[in-house]
Amino acid sequence: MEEKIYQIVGRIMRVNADTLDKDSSPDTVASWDSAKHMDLMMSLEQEFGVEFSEEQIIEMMNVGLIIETLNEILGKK
Amino acid sequence: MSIDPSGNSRADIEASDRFCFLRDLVYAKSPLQKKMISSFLSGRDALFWQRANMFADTLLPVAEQLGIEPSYIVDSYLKMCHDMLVEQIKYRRTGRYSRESAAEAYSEVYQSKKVMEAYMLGLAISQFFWPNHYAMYDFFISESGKLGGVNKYLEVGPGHGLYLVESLKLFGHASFFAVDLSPISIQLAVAMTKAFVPDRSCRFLEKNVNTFDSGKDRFDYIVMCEVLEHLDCPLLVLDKLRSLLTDGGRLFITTCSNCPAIDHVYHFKSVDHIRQMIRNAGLQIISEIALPVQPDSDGSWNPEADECNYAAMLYSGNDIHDRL
Repeated sequence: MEEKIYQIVGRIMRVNADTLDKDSSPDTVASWDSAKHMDLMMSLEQEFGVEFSEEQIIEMMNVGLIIETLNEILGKK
Repeated sequence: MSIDPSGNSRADIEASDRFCFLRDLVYAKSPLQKKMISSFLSGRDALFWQRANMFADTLLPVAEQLGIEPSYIVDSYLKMCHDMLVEQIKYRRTGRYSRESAAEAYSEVYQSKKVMEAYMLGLAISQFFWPNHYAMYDFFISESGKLGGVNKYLEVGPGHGLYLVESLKLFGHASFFAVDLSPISIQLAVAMTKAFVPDRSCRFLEKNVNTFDSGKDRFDYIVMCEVLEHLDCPLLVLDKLRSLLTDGGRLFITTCSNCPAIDHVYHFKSVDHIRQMIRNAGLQIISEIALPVQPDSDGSWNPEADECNYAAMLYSGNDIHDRL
C-alpha cells in the first residue's frame, strides 16, 4: 500500500516518487498547495475506496500521516 | 529612505509591522496558506503595500475597539479557509453546493454573531492575501474612479465594509446608503467606515434588498459584491437593482462560478451563465474580469467548468455606445 501512496503523491504533485519520503509535505514539495492537496485526497479516496473525514483531510499534511491514516481506516474495515 | 530602480521609495514597498504581524501569524499556523500568500506577496507593487499597510494599520485598532484580538482575526481567516476546503471537497464529491437555500444560510451564518463575525474578518484580510480578491478590489477602485456625477450611492451587502470605504473616499459629495440583512455585518461595516473615513457618513439599513424601498429616489451607482451567489433567485435582485438605478446609472457586481462556501446557495455553472443572467436582467456589461481560482501551471483554465471569481461594471440604459 505504501508504494501505491508514494506513486499517487508523486503523480499528483508531478515529482518523482523516489524523491519522496514520510516527511514529504507542503513544506518540502514545492507543488503541494491546497488545490493539489484536494486532488491528492480525492485520488486516494478513489484508489483505496475510502471516504476521509473533514478532519483527516486537513490533518494529512505529510506522507507519513497519509500512510498512518489509511492504515487506520483500512484496518478498521 | 532609498529609491529602487522602478522609482518606488523602498519605505513605501515594505509591509508595515501590523501587516507583518498578521501575515506571520498565518504563516506560523498554516504551511499551505504560507505557500500561497508568500507567492502572491512577493510580486506586489508599491500601491499594493500602501493599501495593505493602511488596511492592517486601521483594522487592528478597530478590532481592538470591538474587543477582538489579532490572533482571533487570523484564526477567523484560517477557519474560513478550512471551511472552504471542506466545502470544496463536498462539492467535488457531489457537484453541488451543500447549502440548500438562502433561508438556511441566513439562520446558520448571517444571524450567528460568532460565525458571521469570524467570516467577515476572514474575508476582509483575504482581500490582501488572495490574488483574486485583491485583483477584484483593485478593479473596483479603478472602474469606480472613472465615474463622475455620483450623487446617490447604494451598497447592497457591504460585508466587511472595505468596498464601501473606497466609495466613501471617491465620491465625497454623494449621499450614501447601505443595506445588509446581517446585523453583525452592519456592525463591522459601521466600525470600518468610521475608522477609515471618519469625516464621511453612510446610512445603514438592516434589511433584505428585496424589501428595500427608496420611494422615488434612484441611485447613480449601486455596488453589490459577493451577494448574488448567496441568493435563491439572483435574477430577481438584479431586476430590483436595475429598477433602483437612474437612467444611465451603473451597477458594480462581483460573484463567482463553481465556488462552494458555507453560505453559497446559487450555483453559477460558468462565466457565461453569469453573463446571461446579467443580460436577462436588462443590464449591459461595460467592463469585466474573470479570474480562475486555480489555473493550470501554464495559466490555462476552463471558464465553463473551473472555479472562477467574476467582477463587472454594468449599465442600466440602452444607449450604452453613446454613453461610453
